[in-house]
Amino acid sequence: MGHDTELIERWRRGDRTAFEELVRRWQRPVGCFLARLTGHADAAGDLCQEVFLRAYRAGPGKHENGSFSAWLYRIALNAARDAARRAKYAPRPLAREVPDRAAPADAEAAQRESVRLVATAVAELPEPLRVVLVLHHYEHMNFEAISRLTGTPASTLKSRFATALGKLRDRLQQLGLGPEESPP
Amino acid sequence: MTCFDVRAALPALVEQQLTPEEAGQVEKHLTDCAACRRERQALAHVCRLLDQLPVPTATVDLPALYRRAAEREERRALRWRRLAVAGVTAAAACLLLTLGLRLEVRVEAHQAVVRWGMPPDVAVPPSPPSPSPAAVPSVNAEDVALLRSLVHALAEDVATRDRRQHEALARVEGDVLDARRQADRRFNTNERTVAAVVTLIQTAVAQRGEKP
Repeated sequence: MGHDTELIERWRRGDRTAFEELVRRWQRPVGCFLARLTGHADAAGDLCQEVFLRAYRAGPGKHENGSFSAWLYRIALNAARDAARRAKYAPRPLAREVPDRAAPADAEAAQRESVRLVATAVAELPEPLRVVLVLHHYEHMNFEAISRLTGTPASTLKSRFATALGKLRDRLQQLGLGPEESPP
Repeated sequence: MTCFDVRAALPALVEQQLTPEEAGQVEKHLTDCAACRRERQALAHVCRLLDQLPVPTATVDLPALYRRAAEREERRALRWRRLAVAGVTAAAACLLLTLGLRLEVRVEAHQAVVRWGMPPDVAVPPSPPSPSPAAVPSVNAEDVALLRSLVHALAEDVATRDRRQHEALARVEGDVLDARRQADRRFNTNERTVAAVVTLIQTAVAQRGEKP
């Protein structure tokens, strides 16, 4: 955070390498966030590029008094929403039927299939639930920070997070990924 | 704690966001309630599955970023220029209409009146000459000068915006040039490194070939 402030100050003075340092520092977290939010790992690269392009064009003076990361995540969220509006990276819903869980032959294939199903189940969640799930579970943001980012009350976000987990529990169970039955 | 309270606290429990006291209270309830225990197990399982997802990587291509910034800046400048030209053209057209057609627009009681051309001849009864003649509404030199200065000010504004856009564009182009130079330098360094590695490998292979 302190390092970010110093880099932004250098960028404000016209040092372009400071901006590049900020990009190197934040490209991975922002890329992860976008990939998980959109459910398209291949889209994350394009969107990440767009986020830093918007940040570069806005310039160092445009970021609010809050932290640089919060500003960047807000840009990322807007970029993801714009892309979803253009339906370029709309989440692909899974087929409704339960897949044949016995199909994958080896453990590695089964693991790959499980990861694919979980990723798409996350992508199937409605956007407000997906946003809070990704920011809270993966980015480890508390509900107050997410509230500042999205403009939604923290209590609403807390309830959305619980709903998201509940929906995922049901969907994953439906897809045959429920917890093993515990012995009586 | 009731089952209702515990269910509300379970997401925070599986995300390890509860204080030790809160967690203790929830755990105490869970030891006695099989249904809530199953719910906790299900949510913890969801979190474990979520953690299985791989961490995707994304790399920003800085030269491409600068190039796209320059393109967008250029498009923006072009849009402004078009808007300014359209504005000045519209203003000039209005001016011509007003002056050329002697357009007159006025709002009277419950009606708007638009009239162009010369005012209609009205038979006016002869009246005795008054000491001060009534002012005839017409476009005088002062109005024309005012309009001219307005058009000049607009044109000057357009020129200023244009100059600023050019300066911004030049800055971005400079950035692109720098980035390209850096990329070239890195490419050359990488090429030298690869050549050195290849030479080393070839030497090692040759030495191994000489040995029985």
